[in-house]
Amino acid sequence: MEVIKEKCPISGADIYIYTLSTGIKCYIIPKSGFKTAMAMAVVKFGSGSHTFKQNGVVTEIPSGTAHFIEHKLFDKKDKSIFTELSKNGASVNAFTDFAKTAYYFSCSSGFYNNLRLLMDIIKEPYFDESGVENEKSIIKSEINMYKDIPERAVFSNLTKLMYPNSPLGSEIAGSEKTIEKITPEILYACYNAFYTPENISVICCGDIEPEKAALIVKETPLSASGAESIKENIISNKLNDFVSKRFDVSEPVFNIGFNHEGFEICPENTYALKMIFDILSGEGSKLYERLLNKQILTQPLGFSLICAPGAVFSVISGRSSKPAYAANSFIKTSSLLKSTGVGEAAVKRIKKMYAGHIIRGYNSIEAVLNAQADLAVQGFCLADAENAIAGITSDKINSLASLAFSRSNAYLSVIK
Amino acid sequence: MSNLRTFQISEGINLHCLKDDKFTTNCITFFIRTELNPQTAAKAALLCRVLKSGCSEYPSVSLFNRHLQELYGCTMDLFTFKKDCRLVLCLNLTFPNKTILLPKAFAAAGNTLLSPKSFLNKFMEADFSNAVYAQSKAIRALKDSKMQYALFRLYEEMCHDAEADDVSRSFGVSADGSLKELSLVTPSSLYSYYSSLITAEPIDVYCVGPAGGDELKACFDKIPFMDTARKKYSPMGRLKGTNTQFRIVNETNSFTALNQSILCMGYTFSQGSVYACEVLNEILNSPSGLLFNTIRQKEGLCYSISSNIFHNAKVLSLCCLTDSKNTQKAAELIKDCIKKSASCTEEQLKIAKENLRAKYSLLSDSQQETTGFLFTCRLNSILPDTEEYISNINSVTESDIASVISALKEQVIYILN
Repeated sequence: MEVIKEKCPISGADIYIYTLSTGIKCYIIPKSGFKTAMAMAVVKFGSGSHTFKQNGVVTEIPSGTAHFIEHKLFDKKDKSIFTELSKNGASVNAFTDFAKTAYYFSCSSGFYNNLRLLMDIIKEPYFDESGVENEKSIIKSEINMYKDIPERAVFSNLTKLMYPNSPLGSEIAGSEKTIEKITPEILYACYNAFYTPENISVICCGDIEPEKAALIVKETPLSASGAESIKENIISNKLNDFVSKRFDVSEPVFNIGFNHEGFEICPENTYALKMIFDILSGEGSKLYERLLNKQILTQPLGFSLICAPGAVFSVISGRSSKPAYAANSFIKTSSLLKSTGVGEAAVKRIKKMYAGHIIRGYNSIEAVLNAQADLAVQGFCLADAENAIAGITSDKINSLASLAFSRSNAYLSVIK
Repeated sequence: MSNLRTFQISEGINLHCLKDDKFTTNCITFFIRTELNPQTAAKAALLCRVLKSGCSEYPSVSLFNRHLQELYGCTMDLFTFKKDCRLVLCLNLTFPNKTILLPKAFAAAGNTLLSPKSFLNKFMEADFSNAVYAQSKAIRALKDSKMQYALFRLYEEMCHDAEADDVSRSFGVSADGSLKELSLVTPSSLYSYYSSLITAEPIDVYCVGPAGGDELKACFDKIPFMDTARKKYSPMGRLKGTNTQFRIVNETNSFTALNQSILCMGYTFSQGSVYACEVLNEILNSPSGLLFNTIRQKEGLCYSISSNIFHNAKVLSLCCLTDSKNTQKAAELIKDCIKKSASCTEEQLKIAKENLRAKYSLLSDSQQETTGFLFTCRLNSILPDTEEYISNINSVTESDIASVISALKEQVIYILN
């Protein structure tokens, strides 16, 4: 097993990166003194992938398939691995986003046995007709639950607006209509296409022995045969940049989306973008204070950067009686920043804050695992992220600020 | 948690320090206990917002937050929450373990709590007005989170009878307060509430992290809390369940019908130790529990189902999101699951205990959860020792569970459509 040990410059943590002969990449972050140990298997297959090619034939995937596999992969012919892990006192769960599906557990004892069970989840599927049919009603209930959550609905409307007729414009869980199309055959075909070793990373964190964990992952044979991947090329909507829907909310909920065309995905750019947001409209910004005092906002705005297959976009979320005013104020402040630039003092302060966030994150095994999962899909590790934060300069921030948040790449979704 | 050190700073003010070197940050939490009623809930929630708008040393939101950013992004949360039938105002700070930060973080907490921006015994009009506006939005927003709203309505229905005792009435109050009560608060009445809260209510401060007790006490001593006689609260009381007759409440969402119904069921009970209640909840609620396996996995009736037990108030609530045509079937199945848990198998009991053992033995890996556990133990006059807690859970028998179930009284079924 080939192993590289990296040192994280801010947190001081060590990270062991194993490239296994099977092709799986394994990231181990030892944390002594903690009773919690966690592992996560991350598969580079999310709702943003909608086609694959096998033996020259292009197959289109119904939306919601990646999420459906996430639900069904716990069930094997004669047992449920979900129940097996629960019986061991492990807490187990999974999630799907645009770029990945992740399966994980946390436990206080029996880590290595539980890791074997985690690998059993992804190693071989069992999709039968009745199990698939039963799962459809559960997933329909999940889809309906999301429809009643304003924050989910506003985001869903935003992605539909920004990327119509693309997998990003569909719900991660699919719709009642699309999941009806899902059959055991489709699930097997997608599993075989995407659950290949080169698409899988396993991340472990806790008071564990790196090599022992890596060996367990190495022992797991995967049955997927693989397929030729098709590069997603998603084109953003140029005709319409505003959507508003009626709901039963006490105050409008909004998402401002920014399509970052040509954005190079790397920790340096990701953190620089997050820092620009914080400088512009974070809790220490003059803009936030002004919007509070004008009663346009009552709580801080949220920010997330989404790196999906074929598109990178950021989302600023909040609640306001005047969402368009809040959005325009943000864009206006951003354009002012382009001309004035960001001062050294502000960058230094924000970098200090991010260093604090990194240090705080190391108190949580789950936070470490999730951070590494996002990075693993992009081919990076936590040490890369910490190096990037340490190396960000005001020049970097200013160069990115001129492209990041402008009227031309902005979209607004509102739920009233 | 044998290394927990408690310093009695003055009558009613205690500093509890749990040194743990594995953490990279120090986590300091101030808990101020107070009575829960509609008036105090509105005032305390509003007070948190006013105190967050700056203090005399950093008199604006941006200046104060920039100061926290300079402290390596020290996080500061100030909010109220309901602990069964009591209201708690909570100030939490978490910051990296650097020697230089400890006194500065305590100073930031002290400034926030004791040096708010005020003039002639009144909070500043602008801060007050912004806080009222934000709090009114927060109160209205309860309706936006449908599940939270449905559960709130369930508790309200369980507690709203005119004959209800104080404990029952408190349990039905929202920690956010009501619009009616909010409209009655003025900058001076809020200041007067603040003055009595900060001088007369008991304060418990918990510090979990690498900093040592003496070091923490030296920093805490610099915060000029007044040495006054503070209130003493008796242990929390039991919800009596004032409804003489079981009832079903069917409500339709005011603007649009929901995509699926939210079914909430509320029970009161009269007996059972905290440990038996926890085990019962785990048998019902865990991912391998009866509710999940029966209603979701076997019947496919829902995606989300959960139960919650409030031991002090002696309330069991259940919540299930399901298609409107399935609510009756789901309710029957839930009742059946509760009945079945009274004769749970040895295997079910074993799994429930194992899950709880894992939960409590992992508490020490989270500063927030450790703090919450220590505070809850203090409120319930239980020794703050997870090992003993786990041992008591292990002693729970099937008949202990059956005894809780036999005393269950169905109070309300609330359905939001």
